[in-house]
Amino acid sequence: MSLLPLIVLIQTADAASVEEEQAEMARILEDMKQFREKANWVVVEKRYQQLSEFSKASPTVEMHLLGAEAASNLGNVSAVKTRLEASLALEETDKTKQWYDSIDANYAPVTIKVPKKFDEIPDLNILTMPFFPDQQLALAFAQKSIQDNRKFQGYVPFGEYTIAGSTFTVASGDSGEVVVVRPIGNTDAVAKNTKPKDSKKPKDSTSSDDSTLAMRLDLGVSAASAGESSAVNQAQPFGGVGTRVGIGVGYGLSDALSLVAEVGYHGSFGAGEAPVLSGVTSVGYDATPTLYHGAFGWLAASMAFNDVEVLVGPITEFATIQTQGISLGTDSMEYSQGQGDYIPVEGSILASGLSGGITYAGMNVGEGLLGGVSTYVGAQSDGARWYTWGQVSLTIKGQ
Amino acid sequence: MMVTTLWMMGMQVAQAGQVQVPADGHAMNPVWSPDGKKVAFEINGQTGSISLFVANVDGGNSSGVPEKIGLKVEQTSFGGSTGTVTAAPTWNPVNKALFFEGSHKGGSNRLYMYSFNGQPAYPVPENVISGDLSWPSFSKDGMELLFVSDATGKGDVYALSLRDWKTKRQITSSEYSEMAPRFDNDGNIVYTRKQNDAEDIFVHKSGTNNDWVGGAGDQTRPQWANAGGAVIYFTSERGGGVWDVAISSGQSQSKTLAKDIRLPFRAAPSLSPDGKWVAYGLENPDKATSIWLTKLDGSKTIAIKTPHQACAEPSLTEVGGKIYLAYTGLPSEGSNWRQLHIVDVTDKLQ
Repeated sequence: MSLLPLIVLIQTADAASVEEEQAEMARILEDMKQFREKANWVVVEKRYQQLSEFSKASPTVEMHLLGAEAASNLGNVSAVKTRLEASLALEETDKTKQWYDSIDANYAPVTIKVPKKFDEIPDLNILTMPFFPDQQLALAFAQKSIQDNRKFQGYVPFGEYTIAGSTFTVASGDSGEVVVVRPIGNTDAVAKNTKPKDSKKPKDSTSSDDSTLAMRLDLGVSAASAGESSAVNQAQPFGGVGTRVGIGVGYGLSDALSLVAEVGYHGSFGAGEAPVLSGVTSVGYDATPTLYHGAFGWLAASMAFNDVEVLVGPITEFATIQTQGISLGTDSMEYSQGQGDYIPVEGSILASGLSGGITYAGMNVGEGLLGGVSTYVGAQSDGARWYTWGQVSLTIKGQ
Repeated sequence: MMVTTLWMMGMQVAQAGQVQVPADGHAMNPVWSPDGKKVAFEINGQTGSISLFVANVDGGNSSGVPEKIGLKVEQTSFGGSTGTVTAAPTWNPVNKALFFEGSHKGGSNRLYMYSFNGQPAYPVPENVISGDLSWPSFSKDGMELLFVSDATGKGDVYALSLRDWKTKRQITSSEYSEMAPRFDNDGNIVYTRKQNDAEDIFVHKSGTNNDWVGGAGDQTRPQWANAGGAVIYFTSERGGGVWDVAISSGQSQSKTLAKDIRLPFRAAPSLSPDGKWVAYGLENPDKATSIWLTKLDGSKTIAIKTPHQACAEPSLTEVGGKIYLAYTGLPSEGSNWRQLHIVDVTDKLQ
């Protein structure tokens, strides 16, 4: 069979598929218009979102503009902006551009977070209610989002706002304020962090994506133990205490679930043992302290329960070690068993395993930061032995 | 813009700038924006459709093509392109947004707000107030929209708070049709009620609705004058289909200011920015080439001579110390469509 008819068939089928999708999208557009007539913006919004499910055909200018109008009437200014951008990318008209420009002339992006320490979520209020209904709807959208999710990320109209008895101002030129609500009575009741300019555009709030980045710092003391190696001529079990410092970010996947990535330093130190055996001291052996310097990387899933956070995930650690004592095989000819316990050993390991912990962070320690304590444990293996450790640390993390 | 200068009967005719009318039809009902930089007007093509336009005006001259203020329904397959009415423009005195009545074939007459930012006109929500809505006007601070709704039978007067677009007050609930409500500076409301085939003027004050001026014929489209101390309105009390402008300085009082005026299509009597003059056109063809102004105390009447015929629907504004008059008129006798003109009348009102 010649390939040509097959190619023609495939192309025809593909074109038919595009046409089918276009026809279905046109039907949805008519639906959108019909519900627009009834001012049923929830349905218009749903129909618009259905348009994104098509893979071969793309929404038209009219579809994007209807979607923008629905989003405007539902108060979702971020979505209005996204849809106007999509429309302008297809066809730039004065009116659409004017509408698009009017958003930055009247609104600014903001992120508002209500920590879980608030049993009752406070209301967001504006000092002077804006006149224009689209701005009133945008405020209502933000209010509902805060009540539903303890968080709002999007556009609100310029103005002076109050929440939990505190005030903050949203003004022209703001590039993405982060407002973390504090309990009434806190002198620094509302924190505002200005994000970099490139974070100006909030996400389309119709998306379920509620992700955010927040820094994380762990600074603590630790105790570690290296077990028996399964191989001969390896360092004997050793251990020590020291410090463990990690810095990283938390990436919020939802209100409760997040991913934490940390890198850090793990130091562990122990005293050596001076030889007492006759015949060992005479050959100059001395006590060799354990010096463990490790760098680790940790990726953990985190689940928050109010101020308590449970984390667990894989960890990899590279370390250089100096310690004392080597495990000799039964056929060792070079050293006697007594000598082996005092031989200085140096080397490096690469061990992977699992680490987990619990964090309680309920104290406000700065703008948008929570402080608390954590306890972590971990177990890693380099294939020959297990390395286990435990840590208690001070933790500072973004809200 | 076309500028014409004519000399007629030894009188200097005012220089009138013509606003470009971008569609066939009568230009009607000019209404100035609060800052005098825009003028809204209607084009009635006599085909069942009325379209609303807004022209930018600078120094008495309109610039560019007037913007059509449409309803999205015109672009859908449901309303079609005919039978659409966008009319009765009213400017919010504080926020410069344009409110207007809008309807399309098969739909209700609703009120819309257009804010000149490219965004589609926003309707007064159906779930807040249903029915046909008409006669929009505002409180002094612009935060309350006064209008008529037939949601509960015949037309009743409602006030909607624009602070939340939800809170509303029902001002009247009679078995009759109420129309043309207007706030004064103190929140009192003048309106008309059609009962026994005649339209009378009522005033809502301190929570009660009282007869103000009645009598033979219709007393219609009242407007507060003297900052609320008096009511100026059109009256057909003389019968025979003729209309006069009258002023009422108190309950059951009235005084005719001008007779045989040309009744505007939908506007109330037009007052000068200082509130001392009322402007009108006259039916008499010999006098209809002028727009006339009479002082509210009746002490003086002047004519603004124009090069046009059948002049009517005057609307006055003040910008930078200049007073501009917008009016409609026929270019010449027998012309098809009325045109919209703007003229500087500062010197005339000294």
